[in-house]
Amino acid sequence: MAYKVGVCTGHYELFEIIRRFAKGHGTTGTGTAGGGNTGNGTIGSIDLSPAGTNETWTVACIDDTTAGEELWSVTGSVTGSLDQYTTGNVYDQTDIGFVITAGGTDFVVGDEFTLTGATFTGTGNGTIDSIDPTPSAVAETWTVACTDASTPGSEVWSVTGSVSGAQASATTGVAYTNTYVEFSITAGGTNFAVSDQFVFDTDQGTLSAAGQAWVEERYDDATLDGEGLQDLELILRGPGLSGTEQIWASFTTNQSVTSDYYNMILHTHIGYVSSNALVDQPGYIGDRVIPMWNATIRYWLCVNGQRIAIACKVETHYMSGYVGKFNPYATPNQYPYAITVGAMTTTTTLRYSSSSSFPYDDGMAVRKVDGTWGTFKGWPYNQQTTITFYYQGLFGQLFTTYPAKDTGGDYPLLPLVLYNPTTLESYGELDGIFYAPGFNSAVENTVVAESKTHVKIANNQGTGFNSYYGLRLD
Amino acid sequence: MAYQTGTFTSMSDLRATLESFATTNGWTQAGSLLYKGSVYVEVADTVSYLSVKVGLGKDGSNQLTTPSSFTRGIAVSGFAGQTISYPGNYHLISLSSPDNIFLVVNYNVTYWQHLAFGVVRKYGTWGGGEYASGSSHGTQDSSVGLSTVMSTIDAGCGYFAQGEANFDTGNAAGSADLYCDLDGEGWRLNRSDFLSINYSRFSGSAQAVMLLQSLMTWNDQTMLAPVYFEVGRTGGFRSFVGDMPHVRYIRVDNIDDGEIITVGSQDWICFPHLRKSPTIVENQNSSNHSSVMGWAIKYDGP
Repeated sequence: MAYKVGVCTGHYELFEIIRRFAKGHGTTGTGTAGGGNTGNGTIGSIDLSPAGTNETWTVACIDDTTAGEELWSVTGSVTGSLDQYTTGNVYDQTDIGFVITAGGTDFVVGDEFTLTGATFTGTGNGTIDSIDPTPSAVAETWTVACTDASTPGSEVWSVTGSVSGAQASATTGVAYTNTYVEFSITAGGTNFAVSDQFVFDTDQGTLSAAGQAWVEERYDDATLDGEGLQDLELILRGPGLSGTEQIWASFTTNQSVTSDYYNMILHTHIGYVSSNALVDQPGYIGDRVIPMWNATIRYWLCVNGQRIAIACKVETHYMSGYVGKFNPYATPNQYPYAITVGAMTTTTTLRYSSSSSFPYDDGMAVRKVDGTWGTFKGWPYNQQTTITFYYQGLFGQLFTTYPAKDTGGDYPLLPLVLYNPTTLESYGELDGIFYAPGFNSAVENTVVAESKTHVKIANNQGTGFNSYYGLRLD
Repeated sequence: MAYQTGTFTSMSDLRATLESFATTNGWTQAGSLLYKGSVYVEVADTVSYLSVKVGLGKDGSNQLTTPSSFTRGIAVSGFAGQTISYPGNYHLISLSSPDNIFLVVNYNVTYWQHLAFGVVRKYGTWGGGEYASGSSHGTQDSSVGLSTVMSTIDAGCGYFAQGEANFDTGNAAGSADLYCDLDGEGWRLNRSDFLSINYSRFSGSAQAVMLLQSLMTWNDQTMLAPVYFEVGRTGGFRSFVGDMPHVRYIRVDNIDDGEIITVGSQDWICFPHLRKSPTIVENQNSSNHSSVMGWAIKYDGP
């Protein structure tokens, strides 16, 4: 339903990205084409949130050798230079996201766009920042106008959305929140005056627009571990694809400077009791760990109302995890709560560079119909070889013996079927996870199937024929 | 999508019904040929069988061009001691995207055979996709008769050979033909040794075998396993070349012959491949039943 691809600075930041994205936070930001632009393409999908007037971004064309694939620099007035961008791609860094679409007239070197979180008119030189559209945000323009400047540093501001209408007033120096947006106004050296105003745009979050945003039941960022580092805890409730379900996905962190691990841990349960610790939630199972680090992480985050799938590149290691519902081979009445959770290890202190296991081959925790948890295997990566039912001869033809390769340059994807290795029941398919042949193909290659792009993610540093899976960017 | 059912009193009667149904549903008849899109089949019958041979085109004399080597069909004496006692019952289903005709017959109360032809849904841009599958087969050109149609179904009699142990390892004709031009090949035979012996072969049911090893223990129901087509490649590889969206392989342990099951918005009509038997066979050829293996075809009939 929705995905986000980007780069972040460590496991804490990715944790926050997952939190905001799954909850369906809206976006903010405005882009303006340079007055002297030759190209008439446009910039859109701007996401500077949280943002404000504290930073202006300049996206400048620096190489127009290939029309329609021009190269652009991206520079923040505070952040400085970020990775370069190519026309037509999705740019998604922690602080800035956008898409430039070519027009009828090609861009040339020197063309540029200016992106801001908000604009200001007036006499003061304070700022508005931390503009954060909530999961209830809609597409509209907000006007924050000073109505009372009698107390410098504590000016009163009217807050009006073009769709949402007038909201409660804001005060300089006080964090502001209403149903649709949050922000802070900070005084500068020159006092604000009546009629000074900030203007910014918001847009609805993708998951909110689809009615598949997750609800935050618990977020704890105040607990510190023995080293004084935050032990984050997040409990999310998803509406399912029907919008009427309750699916639980929980995240925690475990990290150590001295042991050099920075891990994100996935959990799930079947209900929520606010007074209970995470491990005491109904039907809890957890400790499925995605080893990360505290440096640059490239991530692929795929979320819909029933599951959250994560892949990330930690140094040269590709790590994956999945939590939420899978698509069962049964009706909702027969098997109403088909949930699973899996990641690279169950050792919460494992460093990313240590040996881990491929969850889509073996190790997904599946809640069975009787309410107990089982550790399942994934077809076709893992094919049971001890069975003497039909076609014994075929069991010599496993994927490990005869791996799949491309089909004339195409890479067919197969569903990832969870099966019980004890009873051999095929329970269902993971949502958005596919077997992808690894022959003559590299990690992060993409495969288009059913008009959807799938990125090939490796099992850690695996390069074998069966070491990749396709993550549907949808 | 169209569905028709009724009785037949001979192979020629069944052929006439097949041809009428096909032409009603968009297939063109020219002499003994039926064709639609890229699929051409030559239909033949005797008192002993009804068969088709699949090809890629026709010449000016309404003869197949680029024909497969074998014919696929329904044999009157498909099983030893089980000659069809007329009248028998038939089910005809026409489906599009991709175009397919499925003919399933039921006789002597519990016995079933099939004849199917059309085109598979392809993965990628390889040439081909046309196929024919039948419960029985012959090797002679249909223009001179099908005298070598096997009188006993001993292997490969289910749709793409599902339903019989070690399908066709002892049968040079395989159980179905699929045109796939990867690696310079053309018509390929459905055989279980498609990976290790000869790259001019393929499988349509190998993956389903592994997925259908058990019913759901909590409700005794079956998975509906897709029909994946895979071919052997040099160097010890395989390639998945397509699937058949209109069909699923199933376990019929708890499904009656001809039962219609509903999954979501779709109805599926279910058949055993040969004859349902609770006996679980293990690696056994020449059974006169197909154990609990069966298939389901998309259905929109009454």
